[in-house]
Parts: sequence; C-alpha cells; structure tokens
Amino acid sequence: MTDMEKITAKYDVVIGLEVHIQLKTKAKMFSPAPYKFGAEPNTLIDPIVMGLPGVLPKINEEAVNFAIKLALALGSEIHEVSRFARKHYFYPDLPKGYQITQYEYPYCEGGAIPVEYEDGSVSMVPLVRIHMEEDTGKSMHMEEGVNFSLVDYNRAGAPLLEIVSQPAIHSPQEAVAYLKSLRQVVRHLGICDANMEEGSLRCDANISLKPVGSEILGIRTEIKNLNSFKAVEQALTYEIHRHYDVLEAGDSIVQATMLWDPAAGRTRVMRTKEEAEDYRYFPEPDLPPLVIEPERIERIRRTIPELPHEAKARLIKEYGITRYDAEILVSDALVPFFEEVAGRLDPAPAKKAANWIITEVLRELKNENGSAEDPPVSAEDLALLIDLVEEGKLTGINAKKVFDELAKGSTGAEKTAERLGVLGTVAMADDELEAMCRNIVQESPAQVAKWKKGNHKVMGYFVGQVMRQTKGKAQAQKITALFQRILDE
Amino acid sequence: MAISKDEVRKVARLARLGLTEDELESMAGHMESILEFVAKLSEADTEGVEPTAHVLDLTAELRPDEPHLDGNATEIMKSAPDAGFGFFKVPKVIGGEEI
Repeated sequence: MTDMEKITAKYDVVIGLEVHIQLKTKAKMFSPAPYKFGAEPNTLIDPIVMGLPGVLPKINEEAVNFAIKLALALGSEIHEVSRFARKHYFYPDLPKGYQITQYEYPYCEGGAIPVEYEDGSVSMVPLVRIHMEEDTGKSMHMEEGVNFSLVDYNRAGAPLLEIVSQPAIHSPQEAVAYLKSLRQVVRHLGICDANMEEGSLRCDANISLKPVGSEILGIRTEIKNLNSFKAVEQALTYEIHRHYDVLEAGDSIVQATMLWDPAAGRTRVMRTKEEAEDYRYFPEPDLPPLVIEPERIERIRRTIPELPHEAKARLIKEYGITRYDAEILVSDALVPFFEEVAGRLDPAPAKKAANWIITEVLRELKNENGSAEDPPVSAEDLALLIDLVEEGKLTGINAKKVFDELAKGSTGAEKTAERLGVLGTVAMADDELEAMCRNIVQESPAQVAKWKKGNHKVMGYFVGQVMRQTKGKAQAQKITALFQRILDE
Repeated sequence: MAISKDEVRKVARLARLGLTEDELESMAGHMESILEFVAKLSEADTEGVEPTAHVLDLTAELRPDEPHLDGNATEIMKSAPDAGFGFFKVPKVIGGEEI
C-alpha cells in the first residue's frame, strides 16, 4: 500500500481551488492602458492604473462580455446587478493601496467545471462563484544584502476573473485535471491564453483532511504560489502528508496560508490565522452598480461554442476519428476547419482529414506562428488534395509537396499538382515496375550487401531510386513490397 | 460605545499609522464620540431596504475595449519617491510582509 492509499483509507482529502484567469482584452479592467506580458517595465501604466488623485475607473465592456461568456459556458447564474468593492491591504505591488474587486455581490454564482480525465470520462466539479477584479503589479525581490525591491506596475489593472470551486476535489490528480479542463474551456472560449508560466492562469488551493465519512470539514490550509501543474500536484501531495502526520500525532492543524517552495519541495508558513489580513472591504465609491441586461446575456449566449468535452464526444461519434485526434483538434481550435474539410471529402473518409490537419496543417501553423482561424491551406484545397490521394491520382509523398506549395501561397490543389508534374499515379504495368526494381537491385551491390546483413534502413534508398525514376508517382507501399520480395529471393 | 486602546492600535496598524501611547488614548476618545454620533443611524427602520452601494442612483457606464496610453508613464515614474532600472524602488519586501 502506498503512503497515499494509507492516508485515503483513513481520511477524505478535501480540496477547493481558487483560480485567477487573466482576460485577453486589449485594454485593462478600469483603464484604457493595454497589458502585454514581457513588455518594458512600467511602460503600460497611466494615472488610473496608479490611482493618482482625480481619476475615475470605468469598466471595460469586453471584460464584462468575457465574464458573461464564461458564466454561460459553465452554467452559472448571472446576477443582473453586481457591485464592486475595495479590498484594502498594503503591499508594494498594489499601487492604490486597495484592489477593486467584487465581494458581497459577485456577478455570478454556481455552475460547474466539466472535468475530463485521460480515459475520456467527465465529472462535474461545482463552483461557488466567479467574480471580476483587477490584477496587481509584480515585485522583484533582490538578492541578500540589497535593501530595496523593484516593482513593475504593467500588470496592475489587467482584468481578472476569479473562479472559486466548491471543496469538491479529492486528490492532487483531480486538482490538475480540473485546472487542465478549465484551461481548455477558457482557451476554447477565446477569453484567456491560460498560460501558467506567463501568469495568465494562476492557482491557490485550499486543503483539509477529515475522517472518512465525517460530515465536518477539517481545519484547512491555503497554498499560494502554485504556478505550474507540477507545483499544484506536488504541493498538494506534500500538504496532504503533512496534515496526515499532524493529525496522526494527535495534534491539530493550524489554519494558515502557506507558500509552495518548489526548490525545497515543501510548503512554508506565510501567515497564520492570527496574522490574517483584515481587508476592510467597502463599496467602491467610484463605481455605481454594474447592471447586466438580459439582452446582453442573450446576445452572448448565441456566441457560446460547444464545450471541449462535448465537441470531442461529437467528433468521435459523428466522424469516427480517434479520441487522440479529437483531443488535438479541440485543443488547437481546429474543429471548424476540420468539419469544413471533412464535409467536402468524397470519397476519402473524415479520418484522413483529421490526419492531415493534425500533422501537416498543425506543423505549418506552429512553424509560421499562424492561427487556426487563418489556416495555411483552404478547406477546399485540402479536401481536394486528400481526395486525389484517395482516388490514386496522387501519391502521399507528392501530395505533401503540393501541400507545401499551397501553404506557400499557390492556389488550386489540382492546378498546383499539375504544375509540379505529379498528377496521376504511375499506371505502370506490374511487370514493368518489377523490371525497374530488378534493374536497380542489380546496379546497387553495396546496398544489397547491407540489406543481406540485416540493415533494413537501405529500403529507403531502393524506394528513393524508383521515386526518382518515376518522378515520385509510384506508390511507395507497392514498391516496398516488391523490393522485399526481390531482395529476399 | 467603548473603544479600547488595543482596538485603536489594530486600526492604526492596518492603516500603517504610527501612534504614540498618548495619541492612542486620545484617539480612543475621539473614535468613541464619532461612533456614538453615527450610531444614531441605527435608530432608523431599514426593514426591507436594499443596502446602499452608491449614493447616486446610477448604474455603471461601460467603456469600449480600446487601448490607449496617455504617454504619462515617464512622468508618473518621476513622481515616485525612488526609481531605477525602469522600476519603482521600494523598501525591501520579504515573503509577503514589508519590513
């Protein structure tokens, strides 16, 4: 029995996650200043971000739209009237001395994240709420002996949504699956890049242990600074063991906020309950209540795409593609393109479209830093190309050459194939082809010797010779079989 | 309503105000009389009244998502007590607490 099994035999693990996602609007939450990760420090600031006297915050409409989009996708209940509050604390990365956030009256409550596991199963993890707020700046701590820290306020004021789950997660692995599913949803909706290294998706975790079956939750600790999936899993695993050891020794857990120290592989106490911050929330006097009209909700509802887990299930069922293929198409936002190509195919089956897209199209997109909305080859050309191969008018190798030409800007799959002189698979009589192969074998004693010694890599050489002589129009599979027979005679 | 020196000390700490013992004493008296004055409000019957979030009967205006920099970044940095390397310089921070 592993340590973890020993623990879970006696205790229920209870985890709740608070996830911050940064919305990819052009401007900040309450100011027109833009935010971009990695920009020159302190260039994306203005008097509103810095809270200078006399400025007024004004809510970014797109941030509200994105917030509504997420709430609708997750089935949360949207409140027509919500309010903003000031949360006060003093920390150098908070330029105003308070953060504008939603406290007693968030814009939405409830809903659930459909959490997908590797085997394709889905379970719903219920949410407490989602609220809007603004991000802080970033402080840089200097090495020992330097008596100052440096602060960059570029990130201050960037729009955030905080998604609070119910304490309904029961293992570090589930927590990671939850985060991955949430990441996929927000990317799918196009509201957030959800890049943990760049901080556009950040996670704090609450964790407690209670005796198996008990209704009463144990005392919890909160872990901050979890900036990778690995950190989430390791920190929670560490904290579960720590709680277990404390409880087994007959002691009680001290309610505290912990920091994960990835280098040391352990959590450290940041502050205990006695030192807990008193944020002195009060209604933000600069912002009247936010009203979300039903018309706006309805307008946005029409733009909600099907969720990733729904899309995958449908693709597998409708097009007969594998879960692996569906996963990639959904993660890389290639579903609309795939469906357009697959819809045009005749006689090739849809799974050929999936193959081409997740190999050639995706590679091209990654090399060229392209976006799925602007594929390198039109759906029409790609479908035609796949059909030409299916009909035996084009070999696989030549189809890739045509594809490359099309990606470079050439138009018309058939026209391009013709221009390259590769249209039409060689309709060579079998005995003619065999003669060609025998000829090559005769002229290549060195390669034949290698083959006899068991070096089967030289097959590439033989096939290559036929391809050269036929300008690549021969079918590689057929020639390989031919050579195998001749060489093993 | 009695306000203890400890309560004043806590509020002062939260607001990062350094008060002497004498000031804590006199502040406790001031705060007591302010709270007594404001307590008058609790005599009003607020049964069924929505809590006020804003004194004006307005709803928030939304701003289109158009990025704009007003070009004041350098000026803002200049008004900071200390800056360097393109950053604001602040007293050293460790593990979430100022020292």
